[in-house]
Amino acid sequence: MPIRDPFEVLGVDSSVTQSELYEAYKRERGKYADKRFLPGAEGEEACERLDEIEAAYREADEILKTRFYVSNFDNSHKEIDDLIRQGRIDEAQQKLDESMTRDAEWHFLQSMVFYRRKWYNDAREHLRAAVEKEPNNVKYTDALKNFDEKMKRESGAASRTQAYRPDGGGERPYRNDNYVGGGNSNACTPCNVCSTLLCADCCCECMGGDLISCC
Amino acid sequence: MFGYVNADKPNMLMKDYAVFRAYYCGMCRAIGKRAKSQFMRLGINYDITFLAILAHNCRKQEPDIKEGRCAFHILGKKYPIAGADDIMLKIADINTLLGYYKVEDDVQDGGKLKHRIARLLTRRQFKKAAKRLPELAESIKTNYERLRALEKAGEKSIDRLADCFATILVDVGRVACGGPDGLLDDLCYNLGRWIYLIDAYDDLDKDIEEERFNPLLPEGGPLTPEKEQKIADTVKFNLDFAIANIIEAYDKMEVTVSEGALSNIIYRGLKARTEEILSRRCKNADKRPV
Repeated sequence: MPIRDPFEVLGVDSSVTQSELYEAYKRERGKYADKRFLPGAEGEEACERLDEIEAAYREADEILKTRFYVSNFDNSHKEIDDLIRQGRIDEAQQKLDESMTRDAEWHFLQSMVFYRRKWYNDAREHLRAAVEKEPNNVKYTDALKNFDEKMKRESGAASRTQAYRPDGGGERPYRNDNYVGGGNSNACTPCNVCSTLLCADCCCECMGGDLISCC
Repeated sequence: MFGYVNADKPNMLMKDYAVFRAYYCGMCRAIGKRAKSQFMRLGINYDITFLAILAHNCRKQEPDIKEGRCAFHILGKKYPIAGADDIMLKIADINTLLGYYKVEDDVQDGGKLKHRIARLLTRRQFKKAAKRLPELAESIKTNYERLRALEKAGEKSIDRLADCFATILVDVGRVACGGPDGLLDDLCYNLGRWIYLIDAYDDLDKDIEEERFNPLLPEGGPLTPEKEQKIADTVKFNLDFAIANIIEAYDKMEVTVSEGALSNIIYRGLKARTEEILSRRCKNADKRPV
């Protein structure tokens, strides 16, 4: 496929918003959606175009997403953002202190600095301030939501005693624990699957049949 | 600030309780052995029991558990007791340091006679322990000083205040478990925050009564119902968040030694304790005259 500007493929300017991009993508796709079932070269071309549109949309969407974070900062904020990303927290804090504007973005960056320092209470306060100033900014509201939902996230370690895991326990906490019966004998491991198959093969052969023909 | 990290005994398997108890008794013995004084054994608490289990796990060293009798109940039953190995002895020293600086802090806070006596009684052991772990002693000292300075200045940010104690715990974790390790640091830092905050919340009434500084109420003064609610919300969020972070770090850690006891404390013990303290204050609030 020739490499073309994804925005050009979709017939839009590169300064569109994400929802506008989606509209353009739907429009372009609609043009070829029905043609692809036509016989001969016409149908094939429609299929190719659809693939191209699909790829272009994905790429353009990715570009918009990254640009959203970058272009949103004015220069001083961009610099602070870079410092945070590099883990130079003290310098970032210094820059924040020097900055004269106290807009939503400032609160957001301050929140990120505090989060890196593990000062979670202050981090949340600043994030709230950012959301208060710009309630429609998805970046801020999403971050705040993530913050508040972190506690509800499920624990991921399977190797711990079931009875103690936050999601474990339940009505009969010992039921699933491998300490009952001294081992995990019912597990569906590859080893167990193979040995069960072999066993079934033996049984079949006793009865005159055969399950696995090679043994 | 001691005794908050504990197992959730009602939800503990017997085998894990036996291990937990073995560590507890073992720590008590190790303290007696290290200090060569029976008095110091009174300083045994559940936090350092937890630290002992964690340290054994981080160093991948199984405890040497043998049956034995408690020195204070000579005629009693025999119980499994973890032998006093290097880790136990080191933690005994850490406990002495933490205990001494806590008492020292109380004295500086305009402590009463009992604090001064306690300081006097532990000073000799403290000096020995500080000689063995000079860096940790220095770190605890500077961080307590930092905390006191912040308190005097009327610092409003609980994060900044908790940072002092959390830093102490990070250093304690490093000394006990050996070497810096991102996950361990994370766990210890958040545990430090949790201990500091839960202690502050637990002492709230007492601090108001005696007009002492409390991080949750830096300006002092009486509690109004609105203030009370706001504090309860803040504390609940921060405690839960700290626990979530502790669990996150713990999940990523490799745990092979005494997993059951450790998991019980991390997954259930901390939460149970949080709920207990939060609800205890709520009950007290009902009794208080309005």
